This record gives sequence, structure tokens and C-alpha cells, in this order.
Amino acid sequence: MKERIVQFGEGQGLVGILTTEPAALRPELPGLLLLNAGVIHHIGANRLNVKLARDFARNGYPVLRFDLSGLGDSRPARSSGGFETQHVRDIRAALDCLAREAGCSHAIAIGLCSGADNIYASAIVDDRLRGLGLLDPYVYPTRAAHVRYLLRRAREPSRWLDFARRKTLALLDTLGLRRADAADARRPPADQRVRTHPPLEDYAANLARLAGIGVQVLMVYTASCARALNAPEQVFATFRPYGLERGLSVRVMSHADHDFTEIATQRELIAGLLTWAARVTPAGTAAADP
Amino acid sequence: MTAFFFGNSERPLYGVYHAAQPGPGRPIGIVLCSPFGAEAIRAHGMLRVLAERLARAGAHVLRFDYRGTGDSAGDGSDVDLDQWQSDIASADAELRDMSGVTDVVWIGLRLGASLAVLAARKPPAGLAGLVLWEPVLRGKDYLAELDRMHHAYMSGALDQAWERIAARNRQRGQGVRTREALGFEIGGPLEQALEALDLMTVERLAARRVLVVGGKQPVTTELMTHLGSLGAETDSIDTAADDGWNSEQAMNALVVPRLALDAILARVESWR
Repeated sequence: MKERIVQFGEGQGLVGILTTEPAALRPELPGLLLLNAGVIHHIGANRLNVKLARDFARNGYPVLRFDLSGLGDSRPARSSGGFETQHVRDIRAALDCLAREAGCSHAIAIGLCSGADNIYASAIVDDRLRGLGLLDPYVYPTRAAHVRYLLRRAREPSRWLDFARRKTLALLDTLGLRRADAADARRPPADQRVRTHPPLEDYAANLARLAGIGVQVLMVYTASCARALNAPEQVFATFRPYGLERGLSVRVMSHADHDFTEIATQRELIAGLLTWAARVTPAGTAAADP
Repeated sequence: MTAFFFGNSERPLYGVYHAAQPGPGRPIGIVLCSPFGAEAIRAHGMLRVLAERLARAGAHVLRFDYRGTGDSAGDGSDVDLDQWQSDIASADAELRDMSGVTDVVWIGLRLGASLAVLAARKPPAGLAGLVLWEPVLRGKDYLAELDRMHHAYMSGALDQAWERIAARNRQRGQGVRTREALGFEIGGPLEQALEALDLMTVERLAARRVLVVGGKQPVTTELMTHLGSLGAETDSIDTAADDGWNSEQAMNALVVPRLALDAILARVESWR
């Protein structure tokens, strides 16, 4: 395994790690770009990006994990234009870096939460991104999903016990009768913060356009959005009216939390991503011009 | 700020060097010893801020990842506390080599502070001081705390009682062979070393001066008394009112505990 630090972008201010396995390297494969999740630095939530980088490299992909401007070990950007514009600029610079350092004319990208949002924003303006691995991307809730969620829960007797237990713990928290660290750990997970969703019409139309030129999209949803999205068919039903179906893969991991905290779910996710990547980027497919 | 790999080329360590900005006073070196696991991720941003502030104040700073953590080679299955103490020594040597400093301070956070104490039993010459920020005193308590945090976090995230999650994991064959906490594997050698960790049994400390910084984990009289008995000039500061760095919130936004950083900067400045 070969890992080396690369600096690129405006004033060489962006820092990343380029991972390759020289013995396994397959020049026909696209590169892989790994994005920050929120403010977590380039190793990813629970070091997931490092594990992804090394496993994908073992399977022949050159992989770049890096920090967007101002995050992790990258310098803040000097140019103006807002975070979202800067992130797209940074990802463009990362794709340039993959091309320069590893000879990749195209790439797939994987990102969690805001990382997924940034991949989407970049893909609609940069046709070098040919595969989008979106982990907990935007969710467009449906009433049917909420009803399904409530029905599933109501059918599980242990849920009623959980409910009573949680209410008791919440009361203890309120009364200050519980250990502070335990109460703190139960704060809402990262994904509960507000994300500005693009209008569904725009999101779906853009993804459909990308799918039309051969871009492959994988959406993985975790338990963090179970109230609003809890079945793969729901996603297809949402996007089908916009002409997005072919090129779209969906996976619902209702046993995984937003950050893929448990080691077994990390392994399951990585295996799933490798399978998806191998399927959508068979020798030369994703690397070929549309 | 310069990112680089150092140490054994087969299994390199990832480091980031912050060169001192020119100023009055004798240059000093600082090695930042990170915490472990989720705490290391929560602390990454604030340790970068601390490193930048120290560099602006005239210190050469190296922050780095232990073997099997962060961007360094390896994974959680093949590390232990002895390895990580060697990594601190490697980082110290690298910093001296890069910057030319002769006096170095080690600043350790949580498990990183405990590792700094263990490594300071046989430190390189010129260890000017230790800053122990919320050190882990006993590994058994730490493992129990990690378990508690892990169970509480997973229970909240999956909206299920931990007992149900554990039962499901057992059915899936998870968690049988490997211990884990908040996203990170704790391999057998590391678990055994943590079980045996007890700073109160440390019998030698070659650092001349020690500052203990308390936060969510308060400074204990027991620790201060023990460090004093080892011949170190000791002092402490309590920053519990400003300890938000070690929370789920720190995964979503940069949380910088100003009280602790100000105290550490002032103390390191006085040690130059």
C-alpha cells in the first residue's frame, strides 16, 4: 500500500492523501474521491474514509481523501463566493489532482451527509464524476413512509417498553439524576441538524439528466432518516416521475446509524460500495466518455 | 502547516508540523498527543487551533496520529499502548530533527495524556514539561466509560434499547470476537494494555514540570499527590465550565475550549 500526501488547489492549500496499491492498480478504473462529512476531517466518520481508501486501493482504484477548504488540515480559502461554491471549486481541484497524480480522467465519489450534498453539487457541473455514492443524501419524506414507520414500530411489543424506558430516562435527565456523559451521548445524531434541501424537482431533474449521460447513482439511507424514508421502493417512486430509475441504486440500512458506528456495519457498507463500484465501473465503463 | 509521513517507511506515521513564527524568546518544541477513537475526531479541530496558536506564540508544534489511528499505517487490531509510547518518542525525535529545538513539551489529551506519562518514564533528554489534559487515570474505568458511551449513543441513534441492539448483534455474530467503542476497534493487545493501565502505579516521571488540566474529567487530589511524589513540580487548572469539545456537538461544529487553550498557552510560555 502506497500513501502519499498531496497538496493542491488555490495556493496549494488543500491537503489530501493519495492511496494506491501498485501491485493491484488497474489503469482502466476511475479514481475514487472521498469527501468530508460535516466538519469531520478527511479520515471520515469513525475513520471510514481511511478504510474505504485502503480497501478500494486493494481493488485497483487510486483513491484521494482530502479536506475541503478550512476543514481538517486544509487552509481556509482566500477567494470569496460562499461555502457551497468553494466546495465545488475544491472538488474540481481534487479531480484535477487525481488526473495529474494518478492519470484518472474520470472518478467516482463517495460522501456522507454534507459530503453527499457536495458530490451532487459538483456532479451537475463537472462531468468527470461518473459514479455518485451518496450516503444519507437528501431525503424527501412521504406520508406513506411515515405511516409505514409508525406501523412497523407499533407491531413490535418491545417498542412500547423502549418508549416507557426512554421517557423515564428523559425525566431523570430533566431532574438531573443521571450521569452527565450518558445524557450527552444521547443527543440527536449529526444528521438531525438542518440541511438545506434543493427543491425535489431540481434535484430529481438534475440526477435524471446525469443518469441520462451514464452517471451511476447509489443512495444509501440509514436509520437516521427512518421516519421519512424506510424502503427502497419509496425512493424509486419519488424519482420515477422525473425519469430517474435506470442508473439509480438504492439501499436502506435500517440497522445502521448515520455515522456507521458499528464495525460490522462499516464492513457491510464498504463491501456494498465495492460491489456497486465494480458493477457500475467494469473495466472502462465509467472511465469512458459519455 | 506541513503534512508529512515520518518514522518507519513500511508503517509510517502521519504528522502535521506547524513551524514557529519568529519572535523573542528561546524556541520550544511541542508534541501534541491525541486522544483515542471518537475523542480524537472530536478534538482534531481544536488541536489544530491549539497548534496554530502555539506556533504564533513561537513554538514548533507537531501533531500526529499513532499507529493504527487517523492517517497512520495500520488498524486497530495491531496496536497497543507500548507501540503508541514509541510513537510519541518518534514524534519527539522528528520534531527535534525538523526544528532544531532542544526543549520539548508534550501536551496530551485524555488517553494521549496517559500515554505521555507512560512515555515520560524514559523520555528523551530535554523533556521540559508535560501538560496532562483530562488524563485517563485507570484503563478499566476508561473501558467501562467507553462501553457506557457506546451503548447510550447507539441506543439514541437507532432509537432502541441497547439490550435489543446487543441481541441483534449477537444474532448477526457481531461483537463476539472484537471489542469496539464509538466506531473504533479495540483489539486484544490494546484491550489488555488498557485493562492494566493505572497512572497511580507509575513509579518514575522524568518531566520536570507538569500541568494538569481538568474539564469534564476533573483534576483529582489523588493524581496531583502521586505526581508530586514522583518529584515533578505540579500545578493544575480546572476548565470544566468550558468542556464542550468532548460532545456529540463537536462532530457537527468546531468547538474550541478557550479557557483550556489560554491556560495551556500561558503555562507553556512560562516554561520557555
